[in-house]
Amino acid sequence: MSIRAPLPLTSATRHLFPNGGLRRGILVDVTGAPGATSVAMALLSGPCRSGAWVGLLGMEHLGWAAVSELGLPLQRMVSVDLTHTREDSGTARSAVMAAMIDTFDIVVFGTGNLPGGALLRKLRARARERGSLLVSLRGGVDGADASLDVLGTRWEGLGQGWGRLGGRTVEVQVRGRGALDRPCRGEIRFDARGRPEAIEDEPTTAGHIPEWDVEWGVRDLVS
Amino acid sequence: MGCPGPGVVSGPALPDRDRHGVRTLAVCCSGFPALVASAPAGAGSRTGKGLGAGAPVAVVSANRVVSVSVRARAEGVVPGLTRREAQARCPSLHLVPLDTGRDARMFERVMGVLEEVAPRWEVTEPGRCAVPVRGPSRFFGGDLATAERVSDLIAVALEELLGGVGDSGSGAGPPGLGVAVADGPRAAAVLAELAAEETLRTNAAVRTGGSGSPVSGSPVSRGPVSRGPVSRGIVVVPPGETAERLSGLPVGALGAGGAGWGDQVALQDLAGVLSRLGLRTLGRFASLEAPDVLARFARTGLSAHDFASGREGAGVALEDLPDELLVSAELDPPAETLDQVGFMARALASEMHTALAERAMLCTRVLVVAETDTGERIERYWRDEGTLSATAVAQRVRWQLEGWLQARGEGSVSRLELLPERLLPDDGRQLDLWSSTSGLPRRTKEGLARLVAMLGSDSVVVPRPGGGRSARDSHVMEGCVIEEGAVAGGGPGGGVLEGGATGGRTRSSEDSPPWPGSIPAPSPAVVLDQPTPVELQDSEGRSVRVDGRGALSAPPSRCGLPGGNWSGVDSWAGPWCVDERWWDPLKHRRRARLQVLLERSAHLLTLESGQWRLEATYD
Repeated sequence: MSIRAPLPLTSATRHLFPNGGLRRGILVDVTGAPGATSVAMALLSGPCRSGAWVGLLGMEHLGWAAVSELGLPLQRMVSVDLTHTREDSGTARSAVMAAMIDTFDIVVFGTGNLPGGALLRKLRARARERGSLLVSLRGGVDGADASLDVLGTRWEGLGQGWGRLGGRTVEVQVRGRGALDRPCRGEIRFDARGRPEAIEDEPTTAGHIPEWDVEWGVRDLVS
Repeated sequence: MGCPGPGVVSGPALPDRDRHGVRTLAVCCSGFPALVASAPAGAGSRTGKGLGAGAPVAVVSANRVVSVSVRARAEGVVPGLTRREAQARCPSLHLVPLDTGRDARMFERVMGVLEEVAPRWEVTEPGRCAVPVRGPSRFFGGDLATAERVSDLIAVALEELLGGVGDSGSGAGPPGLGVAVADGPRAAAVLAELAAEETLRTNAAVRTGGSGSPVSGSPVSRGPVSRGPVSRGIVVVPPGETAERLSGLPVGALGAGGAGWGDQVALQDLAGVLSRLGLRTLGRFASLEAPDVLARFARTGLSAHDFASGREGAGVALEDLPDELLVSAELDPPAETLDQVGFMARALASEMHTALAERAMLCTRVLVVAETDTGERIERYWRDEGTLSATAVAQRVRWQLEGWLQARGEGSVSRLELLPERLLPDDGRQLDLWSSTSGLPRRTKEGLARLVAMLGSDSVVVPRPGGGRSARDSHVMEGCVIEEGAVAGGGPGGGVLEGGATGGRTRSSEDSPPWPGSIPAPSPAVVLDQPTPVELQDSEGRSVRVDGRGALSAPPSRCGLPGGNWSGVDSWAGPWCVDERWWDPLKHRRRARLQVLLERSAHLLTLESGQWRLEATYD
């Protein structure tokens, strides 16, 4: 995939972003109530399925079965595990992060792994230059280009001693800069198999005709 | 380029290449990896165990046995078995992972001894080497004398190096050594392998107390068959008779002779097709017309046909190696460490490949010359059919120098030269329609290599589908190995995960075998390595229990999470009991699992030995 093209989103998350895609080189912080990991991964499923490589730092606790159910191709995901690397081993974490930004289209920082201050500024500059998307999970960062705040989750399927966890609806608020200046609320629905579902009444921007309509003239055929 | 080495010069015009292949001496040391693996600890083996001479040892790679020791062979373990089959045949078998670097280092030290016979040996793989024999034969007085000399030298070298693993105790040197002289390197390599196998068989017959007489009419009949109690495994085919000698061999011999003769799978397929066509011997295969073979079996078939009819190398243009293909580099100051040399070798190798690509050529053999500041010169040929990538060349340079350093080395490398030889026209490679190699972008490939170099492959990991009932077992993390166009887990039998096709299929739950009793999707997104203890209480503050019939003592009402936060239980389901590995007292686990939805979060709890633990969170 081209290094300058925006990263495409799936229909489950596209409605959260005004221009329907994620610009490369920005920092997205996913934060808030439980559900943030799933939301972050759902966000990445579009880019990853269209060929982007994902590097994860400090995500040793990630449940890969869930990631796979979310629709991400695991063969393009690489996890960097620094828990066994000693602090004094001479390999600075900053060097590892810089190398990851050079390597992957998307770099995910687990909770507590996103640095702050000058180092973060340098990393973001590097990501802009290389066209990598940075995603932090509960990174606690001020001034992220976009931040997704998980407000709450409604679970289905579980009762008082019966059933099991099934589908869920996660409410998300998106804030950010530029086009995202105006906070926008939306929902992401995960079906009972854990896969993000397309939202039916997808709000389309005025004057926007879905591509497939233009291409195939379906609307003409139907009318 | 001048070829400074004395003795045989492999250059433009060798007269005896006219009608037959180059007269070649080949050595095959059967089961060399297993020999190295069973060597005592001090002898440079990295296993450090010193398994001992008599131990049954099998070297495995990708879950298949690739090399076995004599003892293991006596127990019925043969290469090609799976790990499990091998263990079933011989329960006391020691399984050692294949380490080509280790084997190559050890073999390089054997090669150091063989330099006495001739310079510029050509190594196909650890345990197999070859050399044009015209010059040495003139010096030693005949092919047979040369072969005997080589055999003696190797036997002594191996004895020294591996500390008496010739476990027969008969003083016959290591078992399974075959030396063959024939017209053409491939014929010699195949005959050497057969001779080595034959030696193994006769040695085994002697050791197991049989009559001890080597089987008469064996392929090893020429040469001094029974000098001492066991055969020496020396075959000398007179000039011009190679085709006759080969004609009696079964077509399965096409796959013999080591890995340097083309794709093993393709060759075995070819042998299979031929035998189904009724062409069961190489002689019958050779009687076909070459154009027909080319039309039906393409280049693999044609080169096999050339080999079978004793016309090796006839179709290969070897003339006039252009001097500008020689790439060399002076190292100033001389390189102290092998890493520096390896780095330089990689750069040189890619330079060489670029030069070859400009001429649309491939090389199947590389001459690596290293000079040291003490004036020593280490030359070695490395052969591989068309697949010597830059990395592979750099690796071979490293093996060559490591072995040399271990044997006698001091001094540092001051000059490195690579000369590609045996050029073939590069016909290009047809990419598959679906698995494009562009799946791993250059940026990612180089970056991953850098990360692995920084952190080691244990810290750069990729998920691979595992199997198990708990969320933690569903995937295993494996060290990342970069292959052409894909990233693979590096574990035993780790298949390449497709990195290519856009939107490629994930090996999701649909493909993996079912695990009855596992909790169905959705799976938890956060899985703890070490489940942390939690409290689960009913409305009266008593701890919730699960009885022997799998029923909860009371509905849970609040849950004490790590950190002392208590949270009310909104809804819950379970317990689902699982009794795993009850047949194994050490790994037996009985657990009850419970999904709870608390005020803000959903969790998976497990009860084991009376303690509730937080196993995973649906984050």
